[in-house]
Amino acid sequence: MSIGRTQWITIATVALASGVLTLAAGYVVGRFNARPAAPKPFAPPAMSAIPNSPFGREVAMGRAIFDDPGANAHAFVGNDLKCSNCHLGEGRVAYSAPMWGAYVSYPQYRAKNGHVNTFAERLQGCFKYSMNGKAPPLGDPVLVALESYAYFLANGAPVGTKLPGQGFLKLSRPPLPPDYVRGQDVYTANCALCHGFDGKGQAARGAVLFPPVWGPRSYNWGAGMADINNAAGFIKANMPLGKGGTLTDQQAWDVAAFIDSQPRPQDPRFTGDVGETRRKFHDTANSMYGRSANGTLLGQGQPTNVK
Amino acid sequence: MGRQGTSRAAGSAAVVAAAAMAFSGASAAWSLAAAPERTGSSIAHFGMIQHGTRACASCHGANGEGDLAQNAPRLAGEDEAYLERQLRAFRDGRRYSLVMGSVARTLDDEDRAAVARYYASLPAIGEARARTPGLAALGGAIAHQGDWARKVPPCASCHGADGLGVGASFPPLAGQRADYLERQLIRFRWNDRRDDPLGLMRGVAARLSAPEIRAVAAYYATLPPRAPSPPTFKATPPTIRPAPAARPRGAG
Repeated sequence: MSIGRTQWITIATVALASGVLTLAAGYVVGRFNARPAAPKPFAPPAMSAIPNSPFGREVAMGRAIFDDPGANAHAFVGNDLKCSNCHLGEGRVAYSAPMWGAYVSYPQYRAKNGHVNTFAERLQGCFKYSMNGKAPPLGDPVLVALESYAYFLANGAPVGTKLPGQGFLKLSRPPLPPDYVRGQDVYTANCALCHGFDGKGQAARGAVLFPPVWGPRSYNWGAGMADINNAAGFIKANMPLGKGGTLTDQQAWDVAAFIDSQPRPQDPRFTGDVGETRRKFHDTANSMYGRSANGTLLGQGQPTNVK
Repeated sequence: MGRQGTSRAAGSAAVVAAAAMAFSGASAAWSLAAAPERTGSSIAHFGMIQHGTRACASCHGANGEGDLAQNAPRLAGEDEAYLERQLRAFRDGRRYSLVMGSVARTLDDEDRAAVARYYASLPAIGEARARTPGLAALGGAIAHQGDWARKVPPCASCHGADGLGVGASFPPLAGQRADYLERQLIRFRWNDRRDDPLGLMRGVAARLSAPEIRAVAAYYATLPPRAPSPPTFKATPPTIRPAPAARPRGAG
């Protein structure tokens, strides 16, 4: 029996209709299955909005310190890092501990020192640990300027709520425990180009371009970044610079474990005994302080921060 | 001594030429007589005829200043390690260019090093003015602040606040020709140039619009280029000539 013209038309119509239906169904299912769009992070005011006023000049001074503390807050800095090395985009970028997120989070109780900290005291911690330097006294012009800058960036941000993009990206634990050897491979392939195989970073014409990620000119053992979870979150969201989000979670954890298993300046809270210091301040799976890595006990030496 | 050497070479060339007259006497004579000591400068200005190497200067200009019509960038005052890395990339085809590939394949390790060293030692002359000031201002904002919402970090975070680069992987941009910079960014953007480490430039360029690329290129063309590095080649001792008898001394 041959197929007549009408039947052909019917077949074609049914085929076409089913195709369209399949596409439509796929679209609808896709819409419903699509991950909810990440909440939009807070947008800090443009730098051009810094007012031309006595307050604005304080903000501008804070910005200058933020971009180059070694030059503009020299007395309190003991290494080659800048605020903007970890707080990317001059403290504006979501998931790299933006200043607008930090400013509205204080006063806050911190387990790190067991009391309620003001924002200024939190800034002191940055100098003492991340900058391996000396905490500016409360009321010091350096703290006033930085606090003014952070306040400016937080203009319009709500107080007392969790903001998307605040702090570092929180990564859930990886499928495999973070591993030094795998981390070394990730480092060699993705990080050494800028930070060097020795972790010392690179300088050009006297200015540090790529910050040291371990060694005597990097953050000390008391810094937040010395905890593997913080480093993993920062790396996942932002590294390699311009290619944030391209490493897998496992790679981010592994390379964070590798970096935070390298020698770095002593914790300023060092009690004189590595084991005791670990028990008091580093008793978590996220810290390699007082543990051995690559045949070396980590956390040796006396504090070197600026006294 | 140079004269003597030349005449001796010419003499032996004549002997060889006579022996090989039936085949390629003329070219044998030429290659023997004119195979001088290779230096970066000689390769740059005369090429190496015995290897089919064209003179760099034929496209990049007598002072390595580059040439718009030839799509040839400025080489003078560029980073030595970066130039060497580019010559290797051209040779291996990691960076594609018909012209530069054919030239780079005729160079050996020493030639590459010598040419790179020579151009790095030359004084760089930048464009040093903004042809379109508005464009350069937009470019400056991208260069120093980036656009983090689009995952565009500031160019300065890798190429330095002065745009002079660091090491073999992050070349100087300051004072480079705007047309060249724009073309390279466009090629990165379209995945047509692929020798960038980790694909960093392809990623960033793909997130910039064509007008933004033009603006960034215009901005960097206006920055002052690097001061020349001290020459590392051995200086020729000055020839001592008898002073002219009655030459008036200049004042001071």
